[in-house]
Amino acid sequence: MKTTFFIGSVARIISTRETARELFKKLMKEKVTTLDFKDVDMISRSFAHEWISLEKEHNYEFRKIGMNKDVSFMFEYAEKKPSHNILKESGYKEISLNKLMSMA
Amino acid sequence: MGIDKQTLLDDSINALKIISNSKITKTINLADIAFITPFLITPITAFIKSEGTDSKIIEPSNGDVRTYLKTIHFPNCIDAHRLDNLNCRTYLPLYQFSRGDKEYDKIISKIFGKIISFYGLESNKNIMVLFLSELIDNIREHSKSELNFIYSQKYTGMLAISIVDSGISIPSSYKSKNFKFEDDIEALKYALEGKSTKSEDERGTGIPNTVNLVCKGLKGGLILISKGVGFYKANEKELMFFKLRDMSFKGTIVNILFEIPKKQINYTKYINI
Repeated sequence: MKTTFFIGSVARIISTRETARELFKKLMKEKVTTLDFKDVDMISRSFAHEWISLEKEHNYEFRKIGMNKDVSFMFEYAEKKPSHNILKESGYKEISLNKLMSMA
Repeated sequence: MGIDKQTLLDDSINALKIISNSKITKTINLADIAFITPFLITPITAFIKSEGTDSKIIEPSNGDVRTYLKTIHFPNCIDAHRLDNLNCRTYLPLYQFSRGDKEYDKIISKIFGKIISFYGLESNKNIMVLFLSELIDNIREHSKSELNFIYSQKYTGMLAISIVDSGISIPSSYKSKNFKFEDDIEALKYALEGKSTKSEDERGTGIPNTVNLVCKGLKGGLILISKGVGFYKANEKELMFFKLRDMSFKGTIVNILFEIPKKQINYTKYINI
């Protein structure tokens, strides 16, 4: 029984929530305990957030090793609630299509 | 030849005009097109593949433009197995992907890898992966679309990327989850404010982060069109919402243009935490 799974075997850049769901289910069933992120360049926030949510939902936390600083940051960032509102910060208005075409 | 934010706007809307006309005439008329950008041709490709399979394509009268369309594999797109052998350095041909593709993440990872290496974005791969993956994951999670397209082209110092799905659109996605609104622009505002159709508080960051990363981080422009509404933002300027009047698009178009950065950008400044 393998207890360590090399996430880099999936892809070097891991993007989707669907991948998190499928992989989590498979690895939990196989009783994997450790994820090795060697050879993973980057993960998306979506993947990280989904993974953390699944760990909480199933009360099954994997040990994570071999993470570069960007992968590590994404797991930390994924747990944080958004604090900014882009509409308030940048301002907005509704304009006609003709006006839009002359905006640039 | 260079392009600018006016091209981003013009071509995004011209694509819709061509599509709109073709619904009546059953022809995709490219005869007068003198220059192809991802903003123009990706939505047209998506339309041909999803709704316009019986439309006749009138090729551009300009021979160079006809040749270019063949080069980028319009309208059939390239296959996944050809991704490994791509060695063009100024464009990534039209690529069609489906939610049901085997090894979806591996294919998407290859596409991102090509974009990063072709266009000299290694020092900014994080910012690229962050917003590209958000857009791709949104298609998977929300659009219910099996016909999705990506195409990118480098111009002098500029990068143009178009990602298009033929799904249910942002307004319809919210309506399917019982969000109520009279005006579809409200749905785009929900998306920008991070109101997710899923229940968790930490979701809904995809579109606002993408807009911030592209417009503030990369100082670029972004136009998003979904069903009959859209928004445009460039740099630090305010967001502009608009309605398409008598045109619409089945699905969602995201067209992006930015100057390829010469230095590494600290992406953490532009994400919502």
